[in-house]
Amino acid sequence: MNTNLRSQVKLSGSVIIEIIVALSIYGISLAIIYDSINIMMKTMIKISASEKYVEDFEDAITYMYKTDFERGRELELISYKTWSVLLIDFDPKDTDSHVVGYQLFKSNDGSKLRRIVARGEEDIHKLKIQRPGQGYFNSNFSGFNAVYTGKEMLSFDVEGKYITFTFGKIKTYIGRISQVY
Amino acid sequence: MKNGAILLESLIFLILSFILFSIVISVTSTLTRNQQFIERGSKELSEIISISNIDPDDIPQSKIDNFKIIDETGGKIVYEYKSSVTGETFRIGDN
Repeated sequence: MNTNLRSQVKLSGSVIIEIIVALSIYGISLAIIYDSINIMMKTMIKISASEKYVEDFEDAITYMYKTDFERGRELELISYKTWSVLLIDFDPKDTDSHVVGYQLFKSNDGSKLRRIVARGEEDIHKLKIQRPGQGYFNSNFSGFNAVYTGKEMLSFDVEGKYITFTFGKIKTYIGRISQVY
Repeated sequence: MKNGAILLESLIFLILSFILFSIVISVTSTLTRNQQFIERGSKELSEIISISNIDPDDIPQSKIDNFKIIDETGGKIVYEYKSSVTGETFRIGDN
């Protein structure tokens, strides 16, 4: 009777050890599953951010380049600290409404790039001669189309005799400079 | 309950979690590699647009290897550019 009880105690002792080992293996497994999900989530977030970046860049550059820029065309840049205007057509030959340039606002939160649509020489005259300020562009110009609004830092810069367009980490030479202010 | 059954179950669970982990690693590395290719494609697009706007003398030394001048007649310069992403060859300035 006494021996049987001792063997039962011994048996339950080994079961307890088995359960403890099994629980620690379950713990390790759960940590691996948690890590897997974590890695997957982080990768998906990184990839979707990169996809958005590529899409936005290609949208902006192909939109600007295919429709408005011509090879060898001279561009004019009116640039201030937080905003700039890139003129692509400062001597329009017709009076139809068309894109004359791009306007860029920069802040710590991101950038906003818009096309400037002018109707003929009156608007061009305002741009070239009056050198209007930021408020003027917001209220008095003929029209705007948004090309990009987002967190990436965009800029128009002058490098030697060329004007560059920087979208995040990609810099593109978009044309030859005419004048800079 | 059989002796060692709980231990066996936990070991199977461990093996399954390892399999899940290796699938996740393989899928994420494939997705990341593909995305890097797509990003390189954007850089190539930027380079092609840049080169078409820069005089041949002003092209940075680091970029010259990617572009080959194939025609310079009549003051018009035609470049050939071989994409390292798709393997396609583009002609720039030939239109």
